[in-house]
Amino acid sequence: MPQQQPVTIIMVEDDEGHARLIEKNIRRAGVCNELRTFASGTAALDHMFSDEVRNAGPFLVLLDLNLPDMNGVDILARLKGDEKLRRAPVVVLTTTDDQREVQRCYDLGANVYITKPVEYESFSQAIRQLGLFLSVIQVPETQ
Amino acid sequence: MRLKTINFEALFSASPNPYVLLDLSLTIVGMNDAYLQATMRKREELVGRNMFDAFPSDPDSPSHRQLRGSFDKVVREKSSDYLSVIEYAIPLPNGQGFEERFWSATHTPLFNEAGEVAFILQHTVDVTELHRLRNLAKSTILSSGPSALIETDMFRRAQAVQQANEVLNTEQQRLRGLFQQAPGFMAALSGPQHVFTMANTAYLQLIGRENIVGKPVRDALPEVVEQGFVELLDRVYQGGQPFVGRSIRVVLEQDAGDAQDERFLDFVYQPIFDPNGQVSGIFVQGHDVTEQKRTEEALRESEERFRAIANSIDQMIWATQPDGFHDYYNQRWYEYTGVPEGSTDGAAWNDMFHPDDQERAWAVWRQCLETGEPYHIEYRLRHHSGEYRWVLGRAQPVRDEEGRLKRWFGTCTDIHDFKQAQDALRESRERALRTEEETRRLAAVLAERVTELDEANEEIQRFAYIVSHDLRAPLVNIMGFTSELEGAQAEIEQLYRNIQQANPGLVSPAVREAVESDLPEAIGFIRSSTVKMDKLIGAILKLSREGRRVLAPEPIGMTQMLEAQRRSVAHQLSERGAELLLEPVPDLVSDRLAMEQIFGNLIDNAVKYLDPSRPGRIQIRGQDLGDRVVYEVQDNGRGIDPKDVERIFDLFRRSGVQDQQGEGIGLAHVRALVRRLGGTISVSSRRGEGSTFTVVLPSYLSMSSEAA
Repeated sequence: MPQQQPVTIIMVEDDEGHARLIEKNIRRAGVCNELRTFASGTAALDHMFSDEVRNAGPFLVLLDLNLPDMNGVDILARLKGDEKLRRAPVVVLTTTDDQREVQRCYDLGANVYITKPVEYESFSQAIRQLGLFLSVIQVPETQ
Repeated sequence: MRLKTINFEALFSASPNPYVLLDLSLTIVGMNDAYLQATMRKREELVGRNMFDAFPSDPDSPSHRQLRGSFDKVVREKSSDYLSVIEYAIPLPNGQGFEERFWSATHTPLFNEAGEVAFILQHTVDVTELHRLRNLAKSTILSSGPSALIETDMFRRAQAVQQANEVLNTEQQRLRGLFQQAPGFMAALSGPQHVFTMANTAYLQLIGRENIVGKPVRDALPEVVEQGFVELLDRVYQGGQPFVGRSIRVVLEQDAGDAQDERFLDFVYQPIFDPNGQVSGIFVQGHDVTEQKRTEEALRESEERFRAIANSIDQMIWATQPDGFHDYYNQRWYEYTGVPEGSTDGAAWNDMFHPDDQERAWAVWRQCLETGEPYHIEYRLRHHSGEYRWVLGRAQPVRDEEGRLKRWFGTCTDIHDFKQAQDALRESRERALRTEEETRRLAAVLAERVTELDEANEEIQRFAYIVSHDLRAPLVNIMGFTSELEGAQAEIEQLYRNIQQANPGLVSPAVREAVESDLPEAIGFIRSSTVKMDKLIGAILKLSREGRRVLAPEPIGMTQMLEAQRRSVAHQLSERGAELLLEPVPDLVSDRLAMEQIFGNLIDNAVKYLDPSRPGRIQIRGQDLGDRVVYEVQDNGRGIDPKDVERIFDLFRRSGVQDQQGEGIGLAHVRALVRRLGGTISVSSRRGEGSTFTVVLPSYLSMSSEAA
């Protein structure tokens, strides 16, 4: 896969198993970008809102909604409310397909919403498609 | 007194009538020659001497008293006094003793410039000769002629009259004073025409006019003629019988007939008899009792009026003395209580009260007596029937001009019926209030319960949601890593085949079993179990989500909806050789999605649990009950065991042979939906014959019915 920009993937996922499975599938899709995993919302926000990260970029966020310390929706709102970070694409990953929740995420500016199906094939398929997605992302130059 | 001219003095001295002048101490100031001659004295013997020294007499003798009395009278009354005959002895000249003499004297007062009596002038005439003649006539009565007799008689009479006059004069003065000042009115009438001869001050005041003496009653008081008084006087005059009148009404004209004055008099017409026993006049005497009469009348009238009023009204009335002693009750009181008159006088009224009210009423009454405040109380009074009835008691004090409490006047009013109605009203109102309060309280409790239930429901749904969500997360891992295991297993299997081909001796039976059967089998069970688990979690999620969904009432054509559902199960029906009969059903306003799920599930179940031993037959029918509609889904399927009838609506519970696909969630879901729509679902079933599900729903779903 041709990599034009070194996009950093930031994964916010408290379930280690899920994080591992996601990473495996991303790698299988041939995505070699740097992947930084955070098990809590607080840690993820601290990292993303640190000056070096906030002003660096570009990056992509894989966000689980069900976190132990906060609701992923709040993290989404924080990101999309920030002048710089709002440009980062956010892929929401969750175990439920509650339509209201899905709608709320899109309303807040989520780019992709992926349910974590129990049928692993479809899940890994979706993750692999993310790889394609990443490959066509046109991340604007930082100013 | 000064004699201004010589002429007067000459005249005085020359007068043949004897005169002597005395000052107020009865000292002889002067006299004329005639006096000296008459008394046989010389001027120098008399002037400057007291009268009684010059002509001494026994002070206790009648002569002395008579003379002195006359002097006194002149000074006192400032008028002349006459002594017709007075025997007064005078001393003879040259000390030859006393000579008896008889005198007739006039004493006249002489006034100074201030109008006071300064001197007394005595004119005296020696009547001794006349007296001697009388005595002579007495002793020689036979020889005396008629003239001498007359002379003597006249003289005697003059003497008697003189004496009588004196007594009468004194008496008259006294009587006149009494007469004039008497508080009662008095008048004397004379003759058949009743001419006023006297009238005292009180009489003149009564009749309001003066100068009536000398006038007949008819002229003096013309207005009384018509009133019968003259007639009355005539009767007394003619009959000689006194008339005594009590409170006799007379109308007198005052101020020259302008005003009429009504008076009431007590009086006596007393006939006056002359010495011959004939009535000569009438003495009128009496007093004015008008005020007394009017007061009496006013009092009687007031009392009569009071009694009339008191007895003509429905209220009981009573009165007390200032100290609270009851001395009057009207007839109503006695009729009401049925007790004998007078039996409740004093303080006995208190016994008529209900024993529970006696003390209270007594205390209130005493308080009023002390303070003079109006009395106002409700108590139970014993009616003559024996019943104690509620009565309103009120009383007011009455005071005199000085503000002293004179009496208490009180009333009792029967308010029993009123009070009972009031009590009943209050009771019923209280009951209503209590009921209302109870209702409100129950409603509040209910609302609270509903809120609690809603909260609990919400909690359960949230719980179900979280649980399902949280359960899914590890499931994702199990599934994911199972897939990873499968991937690994494929790699291992590939290696195993390569080894088997290259060196079959390395493959032990245990390895073969592990690779060829144990691993695929284990992975297979994990997969199927997780799939099943995922479905259960999905079902819970669905239920919880359904509970949170906002209902949207809309008109639903039930026939079309059920037709569509029949089409969706047409394949299964034909497979089983079954039929679904759709009878006409009522439409309703409700949530379309919920209705579709309810009937979708019921029809699904009916098809699913048909009895394969006989042709399946499902009937759907309905009925409009006005504000509610009833739908029935009847099948001739295998039926439900009675012990399972309640369980079938529980989550994850199923009945009978588990030969059909399902999670045991359908009917639980259906019941939850029906309840949310404000309806009920029930089932009647017989094993081997079939089941009938009855759904009752409101014709119009309103959002408020959801809360219940």
